[in-house]
Amino acid sequence: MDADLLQRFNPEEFYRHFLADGLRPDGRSLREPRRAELQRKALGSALGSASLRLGRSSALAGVRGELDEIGRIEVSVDLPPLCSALFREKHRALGQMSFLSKTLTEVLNLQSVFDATQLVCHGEASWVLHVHIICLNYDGNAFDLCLLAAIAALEDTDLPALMKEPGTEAERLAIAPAESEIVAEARKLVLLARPLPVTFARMPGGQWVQDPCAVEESLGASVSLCLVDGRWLVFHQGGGADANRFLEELMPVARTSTEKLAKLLDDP
Amino acid sequence: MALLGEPPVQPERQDFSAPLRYAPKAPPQRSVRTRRKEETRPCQLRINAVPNAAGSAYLEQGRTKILATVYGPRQAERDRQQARAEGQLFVEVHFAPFCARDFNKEESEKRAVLYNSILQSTLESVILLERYGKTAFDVTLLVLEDDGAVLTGSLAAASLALADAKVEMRDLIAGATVHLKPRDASAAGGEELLLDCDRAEELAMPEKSAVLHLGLCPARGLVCLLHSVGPLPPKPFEQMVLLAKDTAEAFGAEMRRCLQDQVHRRAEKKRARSFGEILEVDSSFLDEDMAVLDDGYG
Repeated sequence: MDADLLQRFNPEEFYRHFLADGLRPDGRSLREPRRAELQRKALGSALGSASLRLGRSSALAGVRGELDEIGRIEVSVDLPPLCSALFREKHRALGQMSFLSKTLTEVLNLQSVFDATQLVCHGEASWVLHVHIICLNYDGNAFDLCLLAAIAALEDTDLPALMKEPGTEAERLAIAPAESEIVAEARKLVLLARPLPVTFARMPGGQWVQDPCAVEESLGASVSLCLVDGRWLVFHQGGGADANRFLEELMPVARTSTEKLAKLLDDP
Repeated sequence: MALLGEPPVQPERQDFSAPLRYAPKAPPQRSVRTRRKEETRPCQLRINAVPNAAGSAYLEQGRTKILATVYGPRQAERDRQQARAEGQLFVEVHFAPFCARDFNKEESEKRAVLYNSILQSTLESVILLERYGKTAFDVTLLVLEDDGAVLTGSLAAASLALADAKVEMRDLIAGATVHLKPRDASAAGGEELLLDCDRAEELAMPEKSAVLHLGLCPARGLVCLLHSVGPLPPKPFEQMVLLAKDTAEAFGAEMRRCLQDQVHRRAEKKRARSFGEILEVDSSFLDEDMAVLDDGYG
């Protein structure tokens, strides 16, 4: 049978041929992530932004600021129909979108990751940072893609200086142009620790592959590990596999690859 | 002030129940035009920006960034009564929440509805839909950053994406936007024609200014979109159309060059792949590298 046909109609069998040799169809070994490329300051219209590519997966993250009483980070992940033919019907992406938005918001608001007091600007007002992540081309591993893009965008974020808006009765704050009376200084956003993600997917033969592409994700359950300040958070996506039994085996691999990710984020 | 040709801005809702309200607004950007009046901003075109799509294009004009993708032809859905003798086109424009500092969700949704209908009818006029019976195309546009000239930029990006998807068309569509600034009471001289204004300039337009969007099929020399708002006296109108037409022609030549480059690159890639097979090199590496090269957001 033609290789393309086999890949299309029986991806499990197709993968089995490769996995037997310890390889994947795209040429990677089982524990090899795709090449990551990061670009900061991708947009001029956001407080901070970054675009990230993991192989063929790519996402763009932008940070918008609002003022509210409680300072926090809110993440919203969008998997629009343009990023993959899988998501033409919106409801098929909704589950993953809400899982990612919720999880990333929780992870980034952890006390060990982000100190919310730096968002306080004047009196009762604090910045609420909306991190919008739009996936531009979906090829698996949205968790790592979106989390890394969010971190890079937040680290790129500059909070603008604020002033009291003249001519308003109620007290309002506005972004200050140069040479005006500033009530809150401009400053750079700081993360205390970077949550570094590594995702594995379980293949039909029971092997685990790192940084799965879209086809690999569709073949089995995946588990995302996230290293926060020396501790591991574990997220299961798509049930079926009892990943806890394999964690011992996967964690050393994950640890070495988080070091690589830290290097990617450190590069100017 | 509302942008010309856009739905009116809703007055900001005052919430009187909460006396303390904070509204971080971006300071009004000063519009300083460093270009000449009839000069466009630098423009960049890339094809195949979204490898998953059948066809895609990325357009950057000044700081305006637009991504266009085409999926299809797919089977038209019968239960939604899409199946017809002629192919169907579904155009959707989305504005990313971070596309502008003063982003307003409601306003941008209204703009999207307006743009959807304009783009749909314009694209329908150039695609040979009669060759695609019982099928449908999904054209999705994502405005990543809005810095003026979004309508004509979207049109060009969409037609490039359609060409990349090898959809049969009569022609490409190149576009240009021209603003007419009325005579200033203090300054001498007549009205000013400004080509390809950015957002700050658009917002700073005085009252009684007008805007003209023109879409041109460059190979046939036909106008396929003419959309204008504001009082337009006949004489400046003629000048505006001519200016827009000249610009669109130059833009069309650039689009053509971009498509030709893409064809050459594809041919080279194919050659490299067949060469790779002879040497028993895994050719998917080449694919991967090409995808990264072609890809272009930001």
